[in-house]
Parts: sequence; structure tokens; C-alpha cells
Amino acid sequence: MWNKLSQTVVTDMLFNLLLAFIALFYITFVMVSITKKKEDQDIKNDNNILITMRWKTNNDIDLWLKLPDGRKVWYSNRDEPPAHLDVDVVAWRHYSRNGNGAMYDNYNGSNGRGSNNGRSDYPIPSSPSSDVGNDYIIETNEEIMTIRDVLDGEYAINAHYYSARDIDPNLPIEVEIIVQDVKNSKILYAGTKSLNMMQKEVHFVRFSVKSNGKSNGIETYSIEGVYTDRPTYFVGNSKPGSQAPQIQEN
Amino acid sequence: MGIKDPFVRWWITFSIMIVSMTTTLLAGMGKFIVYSDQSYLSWITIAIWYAASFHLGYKIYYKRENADFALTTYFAELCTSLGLLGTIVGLVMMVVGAFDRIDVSNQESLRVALSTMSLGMGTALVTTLVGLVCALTLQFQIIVVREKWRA
Repeated sequence: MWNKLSQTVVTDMLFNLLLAFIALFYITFVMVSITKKKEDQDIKNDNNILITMRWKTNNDIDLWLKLPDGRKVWYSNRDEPPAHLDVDVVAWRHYSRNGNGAMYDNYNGSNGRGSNNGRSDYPIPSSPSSDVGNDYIIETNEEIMTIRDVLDGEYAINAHYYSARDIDPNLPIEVEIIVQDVKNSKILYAGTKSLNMMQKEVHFVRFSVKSNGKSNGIETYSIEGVYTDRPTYFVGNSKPGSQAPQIQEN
Repeated sequence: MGIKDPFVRWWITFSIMIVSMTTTLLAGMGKFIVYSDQSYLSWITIAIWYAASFHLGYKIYYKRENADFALTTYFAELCTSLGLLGTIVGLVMMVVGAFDRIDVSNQESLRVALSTMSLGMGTALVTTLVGLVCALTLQFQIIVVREKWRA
């Protein structure tokens, strides 16, 4: 009697253990799928249009984009889907934000101003000669903006000469803007214009995006009408409440 | 225990058992079984326990020392076997109920599957527990009657 009974009990317990293992396996599975779902919700890793602006002085130039519905993307409003200002350069920094000088080591001591803007984490060198070899390096400054989704309509790109930190504010600065259509592997626009006055806004290009619907799950679009001869100015007319710089009419 | 009459020995044991068992069931175990055991096998096991106990008492009352315990032994085994059966039923409920129509991208579906699975596990474990307790107490009754304990 005892043998048979304990045999049944042992079998029973083995089955219960099996059950427990199935449950543990299932919970692990659920955890993994929830984590995966969270990853999927991140910002689109896709890139449709890439806008790059380059200039070779340590002055602060800003890239502005106007979306078809009138919204503006600029340094105080960096994420306005589908467009994102990925890199904004404030060109006077000697040290990068984390203090190791790795990002924008383009402090300018040559004009003797050497302001650290009241911040102790951007020290002013004691004498200009002490960091000769570092100070006079002027890197190419670059601001990058991306458009990561398809929104029909016309986009406009302007550059704004925010402030002169490096050279005489009235000397012209050559600013180059390249607009690349990444999905269709085309360069929509590449041009250089000169900004010759502080607080001046210069129009570069405008183009229209037209959605062509989805193909194999990927949104397709085409670019129509790239104009450089129809200037539009919008920097001073940004969102209410935001502090946009005022344009000086020339 | 200097009680010579096997029926009296059984009666004392059975009274203690039935009082404690009924108290446990009324004190919340019954509700727990209702919620956990979806197959109702626990209730069948408990019914078998009552029937087997009364049958044993009846036999002892009429046959005294000559009573045989074959049927009671069978009932004790039946209780553990029902526990095993409940485990299998719980397993089937869990696997079929939880993994059927599961949508991994939908959190609500995962939650429903998890609760279905916990019902299956509850069935499996509770039937095992009830089966084991019933079998052990039945066997204890047999032992109390069969062994001639002396003071």
C-alpha cells in the first residue's frame, strides 16, 4: 500500500515541478517581449532628409527650418517631429559640456575677449601664449538637422548669424548648407552663401515633399520644386513665448 | 491508549479528524479551494474521504476485529490518484488555455494568459494537496483500528 501510494505522490510532485518550470519559462518570455516592445517605441531611427550646415569660424551661426505647417525647428525648439535639430553648435566653447574638451574644442583666445560667460567649468587661459597651438585651431563647425518621417508640403531652410565671437561682426562668413535626400540617394541642394552681418538671416533653399504611400512597409516620397530664388524669412517670427532673436533688416 | 474496542478507537480518531477538517474548510480553506481548483476534483476527493471514513466505521462497528481494510486502502490510493489527475488537468488547462491565441505584442493578452496560467497551476497544486491530506488521514484511521496499542 505504502509503495504504491508514495509512487503516485512522487509522480504527482514531478508533474507539479514541470508546471512550475513552464510557469517560470512563460514569465521570462513575457519579460523579454515587454522589454522588446519598449525598445520599439524609441524615436524613429530612420532618416529621410539630412540637412548639414558648415562654417569655418568660431562664430555662432544657427540653422533654422520651417515645416509645411508653419512650425519652426531651431536651437530652442529642437524636436518638432518629423524634424529634429540633432547637433547645435554654440561655437565659443573651449571645453565641451563634460569638460574633457572632446567635442567642440574651439575656444577662441585670439581676439583677446576670452569670455567664459561666468562659468567656472570653461576656464580662461592665463595668458594667450600659454595655449598657442590650441587656441588658433578653428574647426569646421557643423549643425545637423534630420527629417525622419514624411510630412507633405514645403520646407524652408534659413541660416541666422547669431553672434560674432571670433572675428569682426561685419566680416562676411561663408556658410555652406547641404541638403541630402537620404532615401532616394540624391543631393537636393548644396550651396554657399555669405553672412556679412550679425543678426542677419539668410534664406538658402526651399523644397516640397510629396508622399507616395508605403512600399514594402517603407514610406516613400518624392521631392518636388527645389527653389533658391524665392526667399522667405521667418527667424524673427517664431513661436509666441519663445525668445527668438530679432532680425536686423539690411 | 488502553482502549480495547477498535470501534471506540476509530470513533475518537474520526471525531477529531472530522471536527478539524470541517473547521479548516469553514475557516477559509473551502473558499480557497473554490477559487483555486477549477476542476472540482478536490471536492470529489473530500466527498470520497467522508464516504470512505463512514464506510470504515460501519464495517468496524459490525465486524470489530474481523473487518478488512481493502476497500479503505483502495479509497486512500484513489485520493492520491485524484490528486495526480487534478495535476494533469491543471497542466492541460495551463498549456491549452494560456498559450492558445496568445498575442505577444499585446500586453493585455499576456496578462490574460498569465492569469489563466495561474488558474491551471492552482488546480494542479490544490488537488495534490487535498488528495495527499485525504489519503494520509484515511490511512491513519486504518492504522488506529488495526494496531492493538497497549498502555
